[in-house]
Amino acid sequence: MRTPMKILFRAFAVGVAVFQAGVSGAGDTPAPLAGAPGPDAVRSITLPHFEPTLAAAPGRDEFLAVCVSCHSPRYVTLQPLFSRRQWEETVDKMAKVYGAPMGQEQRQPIIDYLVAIHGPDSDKAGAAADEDSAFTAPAVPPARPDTTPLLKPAVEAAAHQAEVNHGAELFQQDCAACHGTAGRGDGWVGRVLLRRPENLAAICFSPRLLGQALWNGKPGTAMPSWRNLSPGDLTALAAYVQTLHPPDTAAPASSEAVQRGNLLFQQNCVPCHGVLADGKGVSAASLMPPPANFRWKQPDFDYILQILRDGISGTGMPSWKSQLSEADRRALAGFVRSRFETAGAP
Amino acid sequence: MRSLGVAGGGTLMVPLLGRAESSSGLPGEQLVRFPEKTDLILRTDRPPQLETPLHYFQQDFTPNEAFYVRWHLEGIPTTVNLDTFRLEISGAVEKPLSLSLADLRGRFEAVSLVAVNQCSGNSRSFFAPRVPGGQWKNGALGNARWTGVRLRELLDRAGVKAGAVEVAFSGLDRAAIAATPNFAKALTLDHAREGEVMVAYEMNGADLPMLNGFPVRLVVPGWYATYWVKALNQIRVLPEKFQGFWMDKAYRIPTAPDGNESPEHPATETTPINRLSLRSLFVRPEPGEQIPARQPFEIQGLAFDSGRGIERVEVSTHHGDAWQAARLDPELGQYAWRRWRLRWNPPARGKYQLQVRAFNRAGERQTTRLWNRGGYLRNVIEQTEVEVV
Repeated sequence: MRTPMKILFRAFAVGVAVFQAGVSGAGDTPAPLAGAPGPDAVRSITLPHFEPTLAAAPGRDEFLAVCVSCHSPRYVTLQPLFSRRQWEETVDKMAKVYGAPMGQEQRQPIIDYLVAIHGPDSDKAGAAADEDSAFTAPAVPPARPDTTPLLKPAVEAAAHQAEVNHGAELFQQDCAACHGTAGRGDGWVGRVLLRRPENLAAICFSPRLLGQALWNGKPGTAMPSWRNLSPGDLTALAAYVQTLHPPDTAAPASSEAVQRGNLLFQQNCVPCHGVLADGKGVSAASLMPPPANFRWKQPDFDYILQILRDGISGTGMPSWKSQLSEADRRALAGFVRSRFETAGAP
Repeated sequence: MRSLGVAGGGTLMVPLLGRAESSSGLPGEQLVRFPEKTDLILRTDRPPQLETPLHYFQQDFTPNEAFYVRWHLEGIPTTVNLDTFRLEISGAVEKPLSLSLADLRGRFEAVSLVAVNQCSGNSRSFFAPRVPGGQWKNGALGNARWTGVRLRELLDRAGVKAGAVEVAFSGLDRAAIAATPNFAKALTLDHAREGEVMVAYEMNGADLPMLNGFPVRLVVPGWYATYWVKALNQIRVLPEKFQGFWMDKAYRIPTAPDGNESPEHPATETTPINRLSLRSLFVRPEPGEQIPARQPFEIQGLAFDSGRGIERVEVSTHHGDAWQAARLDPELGQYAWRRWRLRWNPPARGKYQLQVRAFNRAGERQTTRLWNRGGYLRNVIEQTEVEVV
């Protein structure tokens, strides 16, 4: 069977292999931007977004928490009007076949929602639903009981380390595609998202916020809820995410700076972030994703400066570059950091 | 209004639901522009499904910027670094290869062929009853000249080990979560080595657009596009049959020869989708186009199959009666589409129903009825309605 031509090819293949020996393969993970590639070596595109806002109806919160992580809501409106049975089949397929992280209690509200907005009778119901379909109309009263389970991280050092190790595995499996292997928000999948994944290495989180984010997802972003994970897994993930941020050694801002920052905050930020900086301003209900709660979340000083300069695309957070001087932005950053609950405690 | 009458030998046509749906380009569809692409019809975004407007099919070759786009997983490649990109050939081979784009261009013979690339679910929106999936009209389709290297040559260079049976292919696209099956497809080793399957680095003489698989994609002439893996970076030679969701569960058709089943009697045996079905399409008149009475009008369209060769295309301007042979354009290649034309003098004002059907050299003919749960293989005799004014 072995032809002379093939032998020649094999000989050449050895040459190729030797030639390749010094070059690392692409491996299983797409290579990130390398140090200093040639001028034409890197080709990049930035994807546009045409994601629709779907009509308000009960179950939209669950839909947003579970489904839009992997695909645009347009995958729903693209389809013909399905019967309840077809939506049930579709939702179950998404969970069982594609692994959508759906908790048992989320299944029925999602199916009900899809039937309401894109089921056999949605044409009739549609007009009413569409009128309050904007982001401004929460599907359900916002004051729903928080069902986030209380995460109880291990206290003892070895048990804590085991938890962190387990969390690291889970993170690499299900979080790194968007957040990046080091949590910097630069994962391969994260690049296609309008609202870039959170840079977990630049923020100190309260355990409570991590628990809520894992349990409820982040509405208005691709961050899903992870209710298919056990409380133990959630605890481990939260424990690991806390290790992504290096121990904070930054000195707190001076009291004068905090005072000045407070004034600027009250003048500019309160409508969204609230008087207490807890993300509960009067406009907060109309924003998706909701404004940050700085009592539970302490971004690094430089990270805040970057956000004040650039804004956060895909959210209501604008750039303040032309409104506030750099000195003012620095004062504001110092104030925002001072609101963190553990940091702000007397 | 719409004739759902009898075609040819008296087989009942399946009524289409709702408005007359014939080809792409209904008014009200949203055109969007993605990077390196021109305005395309938005089916969905993230991951994108973008359809080619019908008028591009008046050209022999579909321009790269107008070629349709379809990805499965959210993490599509948006950055490719050619300094680090490697196509890996591994598995049951004597000498695994790790090839840069420069290696592919410089160390292997460049070959070209013209081939149709058609999504398995092209025209799915015309299924009745409707089925879930990308709701394409006829524009998940294109014809291009592909240039690259023969897969056989790559496999020979790596040295396939005795006993290997299949070859699996995957690309740079990634799912967001681990539970989602990664996209991978497989061909038998015999098919992979038959000489025409290609790893293409050029499309119509230019780099592939990122959204069409830059830097290289698999070209499987005569087969549905699901096998034409984009941003291809892994070729694995397997000593056993490939197992994976995208072959074992998705992209399957009823094993019956015509791929037909019904909602009441779903097929119990299914098989992976494979060769393109014989089909013919109208390109002009476009849906909703008005044409003047008593003046010559050139009806245009295209026909293709899996490489057996289009022998004849017939058009009826009378509800499936009085079929006339269309004039075929010169062949562009065995796996290319064949464009066709028919001069028509509409005798009077009014609505006309046009139909088109193709015949190939293997004696295959188009069907009048087709349904399957996946919305695949659509190749029923097309009909379109035109208003003569």
